[in-house]
Amino acid sequence: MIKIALALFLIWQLAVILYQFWEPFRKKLARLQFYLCGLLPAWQMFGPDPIDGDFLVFYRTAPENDATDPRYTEWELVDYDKKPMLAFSLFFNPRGNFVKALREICQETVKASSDRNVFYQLLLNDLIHRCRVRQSVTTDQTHQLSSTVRARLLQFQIRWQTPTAVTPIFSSHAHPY
Amino acid sequence: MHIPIDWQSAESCLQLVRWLLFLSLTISSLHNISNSSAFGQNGLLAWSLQKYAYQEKGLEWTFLDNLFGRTGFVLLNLLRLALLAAGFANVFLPLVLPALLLVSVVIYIRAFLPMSGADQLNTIVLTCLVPGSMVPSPAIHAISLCAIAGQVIFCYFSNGLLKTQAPGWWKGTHLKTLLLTGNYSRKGVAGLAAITGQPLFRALGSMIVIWELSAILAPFLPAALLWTYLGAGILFHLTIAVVMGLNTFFWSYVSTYPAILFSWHIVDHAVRSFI
Repeated sequence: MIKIALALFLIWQLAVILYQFWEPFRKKLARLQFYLCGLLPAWQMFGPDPIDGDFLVFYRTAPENDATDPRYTEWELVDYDKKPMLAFSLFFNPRGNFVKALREICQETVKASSDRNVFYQLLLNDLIHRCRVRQSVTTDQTHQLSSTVRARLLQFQIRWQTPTAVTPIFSSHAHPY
Repeated sequence: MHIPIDWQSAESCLQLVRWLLFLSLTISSLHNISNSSAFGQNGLLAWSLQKYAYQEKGLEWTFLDNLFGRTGFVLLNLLRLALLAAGFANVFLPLVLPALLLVSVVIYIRAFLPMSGADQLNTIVLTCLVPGSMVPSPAIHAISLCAIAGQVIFCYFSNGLLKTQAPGWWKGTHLKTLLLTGNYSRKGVAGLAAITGQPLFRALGSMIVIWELSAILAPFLPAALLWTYLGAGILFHLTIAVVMGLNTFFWSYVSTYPAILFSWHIVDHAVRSFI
């Protein structure tokens, strides 16, 4: 039993080393990485090149009956990255992992540049929900009936922010919601 | 200072690894539950849409619609918290640890996008702990601890090696750039980084690379240096947690330190007996 355990751990360690450094081996097993849940990691934390900017997600809306010449609102930033209080940051920071997911979603959306892409749809889904929630709050505040809420168009934009500049890198189509 | 842990005892070290890992998994599950709205129908990680990306990877089972919806995801995390409670109480460990591994793997697959290197390391450590929980053999326990130490030492070393290829890490420019971002810094820190001179970043950047690379020497260091090395590691991860917001890394990586200490004793014993 001891020999079996020792052999398994050694083979696993060897596989991890090969996966990290040997490109053909990594390519061969890349498809399995999702299922291995990190058991064959490709360690590259902030190296060799670090993250040098942030994705910012903006959206704007317009009444749908203006579809030919939509009068959009100003672009609004969605604040996905709410920092935890310093005192709790060691124990509780749920947005930390969330930001990582958002970065991947933005990356894939920009790369695909198609509204049929899953990541594009995920971002759109979230933004539509945010707009609906916001719209219902506004409607409640003005004491209007929900039936008077008009259909609207939504467009989002992904921008890349570095310490020196903010550059729009992707604009979506206008989507009714 | 008296530390009530026998670093030469596999049992004692395993217990500490388990508790720190359980703490890491508890925090991870609390994060998941707190973010659960993102996993719902209208969220950024809605299963109704994300499942198409999973289908490309071959996951097409219909029962996943229930398991990976918001309710299923919350229930999975609550189940993990219940298993962790049993783990903290040291009850039914031969059942709890494999079950914990299984549930963690399912959670990992569902939350693949937000999962980080800390979650990968958690899975690795949990996998190393399972054989030791099922076979009450001191030798298996020792092998489990050495396996954990091997994995984390390799992780640090290979990260250091990657950074050596980028001159920016030696020059400190990469560290400065990282601290100027919004996602992986804080406003105050970014402001401070902007006005701080390059020599400090050069020193800090080089220190990080050297510290990560020298992990490979950890089992062979003199005891005092090893404690200094691990102390620097705790400080390193604490800074990353507070400044960069990557708090789960602190718990995952620190949970492996008792295994490094135990392995150091094994190497030390082997060297002494050889001499």
